[in-house]
Amino acid sequence: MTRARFEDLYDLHALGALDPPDREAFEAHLASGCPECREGLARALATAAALALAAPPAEPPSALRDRLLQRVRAEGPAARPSPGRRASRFLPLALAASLAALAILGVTRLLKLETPGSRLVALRSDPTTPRATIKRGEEQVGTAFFDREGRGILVVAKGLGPPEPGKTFVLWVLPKAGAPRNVGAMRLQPREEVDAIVREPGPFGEIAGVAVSEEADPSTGAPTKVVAAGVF
Amino acid sequence: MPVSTRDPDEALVRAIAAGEESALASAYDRYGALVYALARRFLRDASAAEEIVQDVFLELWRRARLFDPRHGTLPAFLVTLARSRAIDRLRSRRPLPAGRETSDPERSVDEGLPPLEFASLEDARAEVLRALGTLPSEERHVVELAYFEGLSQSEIAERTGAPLGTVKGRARNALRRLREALPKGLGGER
Repeated sequence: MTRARFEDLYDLHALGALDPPDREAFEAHLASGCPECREGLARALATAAALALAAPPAEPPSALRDRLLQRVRAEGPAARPSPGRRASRFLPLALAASLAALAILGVTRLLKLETPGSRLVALRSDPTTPRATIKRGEEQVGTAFFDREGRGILVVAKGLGPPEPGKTFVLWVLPKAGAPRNVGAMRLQPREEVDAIVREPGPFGEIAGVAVSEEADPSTGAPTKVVAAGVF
Repeated sequence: MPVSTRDPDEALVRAIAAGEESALASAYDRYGALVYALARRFLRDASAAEEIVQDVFLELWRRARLFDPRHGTLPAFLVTLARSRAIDRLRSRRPLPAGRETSDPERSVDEGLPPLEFASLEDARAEVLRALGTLPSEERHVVELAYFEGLSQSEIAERTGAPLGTVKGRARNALRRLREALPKGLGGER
């Protein structure tokens, strides 16, 4: 599909009304980094968002405020689940079970229905997504997005360039405690797309960041030459 | 540190992140009615709307320390989450074509959430209603079916009896007219 064809979809997408084939094609196009379409869609989204205010005014019952604050108190700052880790031992069994069901639902959705490209688009637009700027010296060469719902890390590396001849870029997860973990060779994309996905990286609170090294042996247990890194 | 009702949203979010209940209460006082009205309009059910409101503000409580104001405003975050939860629920009530359930358009642009910002909910609401009033009724109908009922373009075509191309044209014209009629903080160009 050409960009002219996508221009017709900005408004319908912003209203949430695209049929699945059009939506998937458009999101894949967006994830490939087309600046005109992103800008066009951002403009349409800003207008559509204002429609929220067109809902007829309704005052919530005052008991709702009390119930909400009670639940907040019950959850408390200490028992607040950190991203990627649900504090199930603090929760009654039924609630823990429903949270587990939600987590499974989230993962199933991710695996079944979302391409890494559209997941990336979603993660980028969420102000609560933990992200790490991956730098080589002072230069930004990529970003890592921590996906709490999918329990993964998506890495986009824009400026790494090719590795030295005979070598491969290898991605490492840096735990807060312990040695870096080799999570595999990076497959560099020609355009701005997801270059690596770290499955089950562990709870967000226990991960300091990611690093990229250049290796002759991509399965090495310790990084030989770290070329870039970022912290969450 | 006690949170004043006049603190900007960013300060509120920081205080919520620090675990201050009073800050969450202030956020609720500021935006609870907006989220509730939206959820009620979607679900047409007061108790389901209350559940959405609780979910949305609990989510803010849990995720506030990850909130980065460079990627979106607080009302945009709350409204986006509320709409997404409400539409999930709406769709669970009726049979759907495969794949519809992940439509989450506000999350599809990487420049962050829409820059929804306003000083007074009442004034902002009046602006939006006035802008909607400039739309021909068939365009307004398309916007309502899509945004508030969560219908897709082909479902709207079926419901209204208009051809698909006409539905697309109405959506496009409607948003263009709204953009012309709305002020900047509300997604317009005026």
